[in-house]
Amino acid sequence: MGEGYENPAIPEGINAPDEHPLKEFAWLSFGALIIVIALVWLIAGLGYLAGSLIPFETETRIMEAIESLDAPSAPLSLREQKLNDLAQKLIAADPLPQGMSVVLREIEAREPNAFATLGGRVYVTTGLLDMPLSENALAMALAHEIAHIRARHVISSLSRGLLMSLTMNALFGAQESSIASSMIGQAGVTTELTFSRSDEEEADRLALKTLYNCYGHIADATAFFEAVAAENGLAVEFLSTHPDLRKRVEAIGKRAKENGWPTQGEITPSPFR
Amino acid sequence: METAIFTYFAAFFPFISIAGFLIVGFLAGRRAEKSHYDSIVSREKRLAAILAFSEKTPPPFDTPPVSALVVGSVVISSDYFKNFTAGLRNLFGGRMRSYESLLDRARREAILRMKQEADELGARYICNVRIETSPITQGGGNQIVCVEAYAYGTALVKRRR
Repeated sequence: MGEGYENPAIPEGINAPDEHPLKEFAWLSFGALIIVIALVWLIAGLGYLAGSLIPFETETRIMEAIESLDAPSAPLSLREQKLNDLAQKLIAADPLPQGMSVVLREIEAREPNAFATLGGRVYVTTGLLDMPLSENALAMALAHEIAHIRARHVISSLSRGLLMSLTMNALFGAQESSIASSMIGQAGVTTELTFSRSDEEEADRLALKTLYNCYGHIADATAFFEAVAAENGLAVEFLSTHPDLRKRVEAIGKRAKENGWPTQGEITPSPFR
Repeated sequence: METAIFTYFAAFFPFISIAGFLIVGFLAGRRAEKSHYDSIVSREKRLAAILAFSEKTPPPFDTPPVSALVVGSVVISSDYFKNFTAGLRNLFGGRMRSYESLLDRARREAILRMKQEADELGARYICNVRIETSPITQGGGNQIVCVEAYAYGTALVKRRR
């Protein structure tokens, strides 16, 4: 019974791969990384360009619409008046393009900070105005934010961010919380941060020129950065939106030397002291 | 100096932890797979005397045999490394090599366990062998976390006179 039937050993390697699994892993990871980085560069570039084509009046209209949702803003305080006077002094020395304007307001916050948003709005924290800085140092900070507005960084990076997240969701959104897709997302974010840092470098460059035009020298330009660097510890440049503080200070020194701008000069005391 | 090291560690922690999981998953998974395959091959040799047919009709016996349903069932899980590679594979398409070996092991193991049951019953033939596999997913996501293979058939034991 059952003579003649045999049970040979089935050959291996047909239904299961003989290859080393790391080979597949390396190929896929490498391919995914290359594609993500290439995509990010392409989409980011397009988004950035598209943003700069949006007229400044549109920015202003957007901000007015948003601001009208809140209670109407109070008139400028005395400190805010002084801020705007200083800003106008810088703009007089280095005029903004046609149709652009800036308005500065103070924000209650202890961390020294300043940021520019759409429509030429610049917000400066109480912490920054309370720092023992000369007018020149404060002017550098303000000129930096004005430079962001001048170079249309805000609208461009908003447009870039929007296009990026749309694309990423369209392509990878179908993946439900896969570890691999989150790694890919992280690679995209890290690449995006390099763009943000280059915007900051350009703003530093334009701000230094404004400072020189206004005062005839760039004394105290780095005072703000040096004060902040002394307080905080190290930050990892790879993962932050701004270049390393010491690098910024060095870049400023180098640019001054290239253009022959004097680094010493008469320092105006701050109007806030 | 310590703060520098700590800052870099904190910043890169997500990458470090994922790399760590990948390494552990790869090494542990590879070891488990190798030892499982060794066990499978040696048991297939040992149980080669038991014949399994997918044919529905049993072969003719002198006297009607004793029949019994024999079942082999196994649940095998994939490791972090396999899941990660499969996730990347989802983007590009193609053979999911990382899961192919998982399923191959599971099917063969299920058949072996079925043959084991038959062997303990004293059977030499199993007919109408069927195999079913089903994934067991854990909640969120399309990730296959483990797979169950289920092999069953009718074992025929020669009746002693």
